[in-house]
Amino acid sequence: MSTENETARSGQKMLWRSLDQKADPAKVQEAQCGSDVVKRNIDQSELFTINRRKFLTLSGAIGTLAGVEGCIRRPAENIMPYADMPEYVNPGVPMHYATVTTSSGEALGLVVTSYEGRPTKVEGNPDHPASLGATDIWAQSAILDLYDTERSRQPHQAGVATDFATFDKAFDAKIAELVKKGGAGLAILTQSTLSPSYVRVRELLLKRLPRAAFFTYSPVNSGNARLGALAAFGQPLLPIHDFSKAKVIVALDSDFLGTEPGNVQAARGFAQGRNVSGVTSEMNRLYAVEPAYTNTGSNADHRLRLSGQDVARYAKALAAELGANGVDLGQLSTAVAGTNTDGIPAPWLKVVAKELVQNRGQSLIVVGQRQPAAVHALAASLNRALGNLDRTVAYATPIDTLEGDGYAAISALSKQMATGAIDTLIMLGGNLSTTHRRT
Amino acid sequence: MQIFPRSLNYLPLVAAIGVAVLGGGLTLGIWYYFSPRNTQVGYAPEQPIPYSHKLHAGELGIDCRYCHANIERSQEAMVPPTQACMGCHAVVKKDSPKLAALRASWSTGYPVEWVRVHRVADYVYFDHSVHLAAGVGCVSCHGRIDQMEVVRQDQPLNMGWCLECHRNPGPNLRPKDQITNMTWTPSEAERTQLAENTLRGPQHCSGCHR
Repeated sequence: MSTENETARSGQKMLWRSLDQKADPAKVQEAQCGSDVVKRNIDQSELFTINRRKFLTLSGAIGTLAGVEGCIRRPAENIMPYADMPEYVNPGVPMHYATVTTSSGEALGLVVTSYEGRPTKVEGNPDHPASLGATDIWAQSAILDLYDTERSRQPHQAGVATDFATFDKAFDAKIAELVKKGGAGLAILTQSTLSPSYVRVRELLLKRLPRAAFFTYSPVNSGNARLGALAAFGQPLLPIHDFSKAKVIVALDSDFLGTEPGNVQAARGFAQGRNVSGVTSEMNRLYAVEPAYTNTGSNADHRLRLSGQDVARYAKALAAELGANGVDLGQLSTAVAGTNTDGIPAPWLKVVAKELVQNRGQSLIVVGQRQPAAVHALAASLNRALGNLDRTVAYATPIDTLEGDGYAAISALSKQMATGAIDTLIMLGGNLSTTHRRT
Repeated sequence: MQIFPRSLNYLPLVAAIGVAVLGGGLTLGIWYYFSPRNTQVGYAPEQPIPYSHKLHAGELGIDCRYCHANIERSQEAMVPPTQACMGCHAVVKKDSPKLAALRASWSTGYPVEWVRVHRVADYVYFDHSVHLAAGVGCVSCHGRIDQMEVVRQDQPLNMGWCLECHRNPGPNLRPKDQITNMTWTPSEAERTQLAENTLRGPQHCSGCHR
């Protein structure tokens, strides 16, 4: 729950230069208008007329001030030691903590540098398999979260700050009431999770409150990939790529080097495949098909600009071309036959298909999260047909197997709330006011 | 008719001497009085608690490192947490009005706002632990803290002063077990031994201005 600032209340645009000013709008006004002295009307002619008396006064003052300046040592500066110092703290020497952040479907191991309890820098944890010592932009900016002045510091009731004792009392009463009803009318809205502990606690909770309903929604989620795997393999799985083993990579609207989950590890693997260390070593080749310019596109050997909706068409055309090159597509071959190839340059089918076939088991087709489930399903089938399964891509059961289509979940929730079937909503994380479009 | 008296013939000479003396005096005055030796040394601000180093370090003989505990491991000499003071003052002089600020800090958890006495500019890298490891005693830079009722700055802490010792640290070095001893004087054998030392502090710019 964030405190509303003055901007929102007054509806006026407020410009600020420091967080102090933002917190106290009066200061902004003062900074804009100048201090009281300047605000007073000063007769300008009076300022610049100098007579002998004034000249002597001023020069005397200047001389005195120059002398005083030398004697004033400096503004007093305070030293604020701990009142109760935690163990192991050595003031002046930073501590390093190993920790993990989770964002957009991956957990990233970090090492945070902290001076006397004040974190100053985030770096990757070299011992963590997803990080290998590197981070992404979200991990780097995570440090700012820790100093966010809008973070809630205490519980609020109807917009008014209260304390935890009051909250606990109200919460306990509500829970007791819900337990009597077996959880009927209770909805719990959570974000996508990577935590086995959370999944276990949810199961325990559902035993106690069998009629409670869980909804999982994250604005960025792996729903399409899960549904794609469901279509291709019969169960919701998530792909895990190994870019270091891929000689030919086809990225379909996938910014796997920038914004997709696992991008830190992917960048490392991709770079390994690019590393030419001897006469016989070869570089990998990256084909990117994408509607917007991304980090991946800028690293690609060949980039095809194609609108988001046409990426699916390209995937089908590529599948058809692979079929023509002797890849066994099974039932798929009829579904992709005769795909319209307007706007797709011929080499992007012929050459790409040829290279994929030449590198069976060493190629990889990756699909971005925002592409529909059908494209994920098609890519999974193609990777299987090319013999890439368990070589460059493996499929794993997600930690939260119940998470489905987040958008469907959120609209189901709002419908049930509208009908009054749900009277209690518990939200664990997430900020729907900024991540969900009201319809 | 002559309107200027004859004595005015000396005016140019007198004026020249006057300007030279006054200007020279002014220059020398600023040179001397505006230097850190004058503006920094002797700074003894009032502290929120009238803590006496003379009593604690001098008369009671508490070692410097009892309170400034991390001094051998950190660049920064910590000011002790309220907790360290309360170790004794929970029992000793626990109702003294002079310790009101200390008790307030202990009950609220808010730090005591001590006023910094010794300060080098932000563009200077200074590490206490390195100096102690080299064998520079506390007294060399901080003076006779054990005789100070109120802590004041004893040395100018300016660049020339730093470099003096970096070029020839010998006179300021001592055995490592005498670091906190305020009254240590070297024996004849130690004096010759220290005089032979080849240790030098860094004298290149980036040694301190990193």
